[in-house]
Amino acid sequence: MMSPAFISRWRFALVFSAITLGYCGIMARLYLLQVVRGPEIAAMAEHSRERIDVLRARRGNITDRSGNLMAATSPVIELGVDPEKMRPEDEAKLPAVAKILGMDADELSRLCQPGTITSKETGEVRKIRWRKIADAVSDSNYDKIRAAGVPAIYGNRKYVRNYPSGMAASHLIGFMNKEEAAVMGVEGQFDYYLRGQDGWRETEIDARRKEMVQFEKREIAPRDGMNVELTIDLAIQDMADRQAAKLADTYHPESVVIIVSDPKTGDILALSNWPSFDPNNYGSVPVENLRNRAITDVYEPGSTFKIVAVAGALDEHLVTPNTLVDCSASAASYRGRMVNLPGESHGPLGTIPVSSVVSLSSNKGAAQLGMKIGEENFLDYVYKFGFGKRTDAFGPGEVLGIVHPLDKWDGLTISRMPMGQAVCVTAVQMHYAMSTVASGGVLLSPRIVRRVYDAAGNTVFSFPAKARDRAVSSEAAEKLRIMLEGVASKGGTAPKAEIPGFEVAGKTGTSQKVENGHYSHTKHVATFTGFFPASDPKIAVTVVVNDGKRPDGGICYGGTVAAPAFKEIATQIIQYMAMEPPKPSGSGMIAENRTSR
Amino acid sequence: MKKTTRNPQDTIYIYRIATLLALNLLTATAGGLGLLYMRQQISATAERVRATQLAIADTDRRLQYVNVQIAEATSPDALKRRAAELALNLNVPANTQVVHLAGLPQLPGKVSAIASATAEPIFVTFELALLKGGVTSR
Repeated sequence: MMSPAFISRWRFALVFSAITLGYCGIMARLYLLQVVRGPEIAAMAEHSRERIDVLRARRGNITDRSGNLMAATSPVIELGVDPEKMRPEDEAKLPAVAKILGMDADELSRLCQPGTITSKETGEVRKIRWRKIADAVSDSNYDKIRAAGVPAIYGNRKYVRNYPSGMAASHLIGFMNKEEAAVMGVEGQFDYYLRGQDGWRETEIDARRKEMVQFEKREIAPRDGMNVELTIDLAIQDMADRQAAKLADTYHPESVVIIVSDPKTGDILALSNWPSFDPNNYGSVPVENLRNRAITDVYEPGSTFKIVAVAGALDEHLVTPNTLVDCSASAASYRGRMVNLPGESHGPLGTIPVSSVVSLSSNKGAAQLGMKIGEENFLDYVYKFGFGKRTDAFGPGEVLGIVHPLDKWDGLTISRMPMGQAVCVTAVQMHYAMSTVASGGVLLSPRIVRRVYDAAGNTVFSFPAKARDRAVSSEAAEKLRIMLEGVASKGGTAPKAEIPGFEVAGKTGTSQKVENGHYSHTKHVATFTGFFPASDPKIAVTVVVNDGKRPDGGICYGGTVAAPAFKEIATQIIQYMAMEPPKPSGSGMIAENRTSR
Repeated sequence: MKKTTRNPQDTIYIYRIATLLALNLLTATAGGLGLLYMRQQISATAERVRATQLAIADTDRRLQYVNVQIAEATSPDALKRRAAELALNLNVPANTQVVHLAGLPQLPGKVSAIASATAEPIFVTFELALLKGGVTSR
């Protein structure tokens, strides 16, 4: 024991107690940390070391039938600057960076100036450590920017959906919005296959938040989305788009729809809407431009609908192509009462055979054929041709059209519906009704997607052509097909659709639009729907021009506005597909460029 | 002073213990170093694997980027723009420019021979440079 000569007893006791208490405090704290809160703190330490990284799956591509990319996910870099990291020598390098980015050097310099930001919630003032410079910089430009040597300017990689073909078939493809949600079209319908499945990785990080790869625990690899191959042909789509734009330029319509398909499979080769939109920049156009009018807008089909009455009458063996029909009568007897017949659009026609009812588009003739079939049977044929039903090929947004049930019909409906009034259809319904004639009386489902395939090109799901219904017998369809050839020839209502050497079968339609409950005399929907070569149909085309305005102030008829557009597209398709003219003796086609261009 | 002599048995026993301790120490040291080396190698291998993974991902990403660039450059709109820029004055062939013949043309024997001799496939390559700016052909 220490001598009392050096330290007093009470002082010794005080120091001893203080040291003992100190040690006791440390022991208590240790006990608290190690025993009481031990598991919790150990878990916190473990948690701060652990990191779970989400491994994003890449969304699959959408291609046309030849493999041309129509939608792809491409990497871009969101470029920004940390103003606090800017060095004095970096200022001189900014003009070079601005030049790469194609922006004003002063603007870039302003973005690189330090600043503060005040939190709205807490009122806390903080230095700005990230300010966005550009939304999407390509890899190659980013490499150049990094090479410029401004460490404060750096980027974060992100993936954006890109539509390399721009506006082509944009209504069919759809788009991804800013929230990365598939909005419409194939993007929406096939989102399940396209989006893939994200993976994740559980790993540990060091104090500098750098991953310690050797401590990686588990990794679930991402599964990239599958690819979708459309039935669209990009070249034909471009032809249809150009034609729609040309019609819009010439006639300033409310809208234009052009559909091109293979009538034997139902494959849609092109579907063009005007007005349209670029899915890369969908926000820059009015929202109505996003509507796929081919399936959302209905119109009275007018004379194109006469194919139902004629096909029905032929199918029921009520008439033959040579049966004479009195198209001069003002009324006809129907089930014990007289029904007023509609007027003719192309002047008095007298008594003409059924084949001329089609080629001359007789309203009275179509009405009488409808009356011969009878209301119940006629309505049955309307449904068999696909009217009043969704095709279910286009996903949400497709409308039924308007086909009134029998109890809603008035006394005149049986004489008006066969000529395409008192019924509303979509362009797609009309197109596939005409395709039914081309395919021997079988109504096919529209096919937009051929297959879903993986990264190696292996088909995962295929979507074969699908028949929906048999509308009429093949004999009736064959007879109607021959009659429809008369429409697109001299003496028919659409000589401007005739393509020498190729048998074009089709039907014109000009319907008055309804305004304030009355038929308008100034607003019309002009339609031409047809196919070729008639003896072996390979292509069906429908052109619908809604409320076109002719430069001379005249009416936009199907035969004068839509039929020439049909011919122009058909001619290009013939050349593109190197189609041979259907001549029995023909053994080949040689294209000769007679002029220099 | 009386000198004490150690029992030889004890000496051997001490040497044995010392040897065992030394071996133990050596084994522990070697094992520890081996473990350290092994961990270093695991870490280095893991880093290499990750670097390879990143390189593959980066290549895949760049490939996708190039694919999109090619698709954009060969889209009908882009080709039309290029044609206009290069003043190629291209037009869609008119229907009257296409002549459909019923059969194969009957050419004189000499012409036929020349035609067959030169009837080899011709490969034309459009380089990306043509689409992106320069005009190159080969």
